[in-house]
Amino acid sequence: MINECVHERSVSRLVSRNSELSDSLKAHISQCENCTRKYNILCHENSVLKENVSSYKSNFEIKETLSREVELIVERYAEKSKRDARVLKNNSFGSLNHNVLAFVKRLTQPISLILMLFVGALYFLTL
Amino acid sequence: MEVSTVSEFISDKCFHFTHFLVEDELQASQLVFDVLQSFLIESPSALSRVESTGFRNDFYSRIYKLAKTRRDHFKMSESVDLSGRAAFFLVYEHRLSIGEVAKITTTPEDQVLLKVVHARSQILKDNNNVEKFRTSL
Repeated sequence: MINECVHERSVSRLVSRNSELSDSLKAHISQCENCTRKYNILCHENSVLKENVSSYKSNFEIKETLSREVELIVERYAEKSKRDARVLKNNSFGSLNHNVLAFVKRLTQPISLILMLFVGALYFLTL
Repeated sequence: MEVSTVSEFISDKCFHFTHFLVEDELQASQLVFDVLQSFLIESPSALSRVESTGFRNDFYSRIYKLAKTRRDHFKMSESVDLSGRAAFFLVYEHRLSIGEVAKITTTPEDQVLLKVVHARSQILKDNNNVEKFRTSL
């Protein structure tokens, strides 16, 4: 398709992107028949597209229902995760690494060190 | 995870995208819920990043893939180019870059723009007022 005015392309590009037209281009559009036609067609097309896309938006009722459903799904999931974690904690010995680390960590606590010293002292006394 | 932020993102942006793709409110709601469930099963911690672009694009990508898989259930016309509609929506409504849209729709970057233009002209073609307006000028 051949543009009948060199500015048609600029008009087309800017209007399609919903960009602001410069003052000189606005002045040109008002004077040029081709550009005025192009501008009006593009504006009309834009309004049709906007209307079409907006028609798929969720209305208030759907939005409310969806929000409620999503909250329910997420809450149900959170409850299930908590329950699963509790069951796992109660019914398993945990991983070996975790248990060894926890044991060593407890050994380094002051009360453990005192007890170990006490047991060691008793052992040496009985020798 | 902020439940209200997740629910707002899903009921607003995700539903809009899905409804635009499948053109049926009930199917769109179901599809959105299924994608949410898949997130909760696979990577629930990801939901805490609901406001990040990466998460949102991942969500749109899953919606698009599921819609594509289920298109037979939706009784959608074979002439409808789902990737084109998805690309058009994401570019037009969310102003995503061509690269991002290409990733979401798994379409080569050089074809995305073509698909967007085609979907745009298809929407205009389906609207009788556009041709009438053109001829009236």
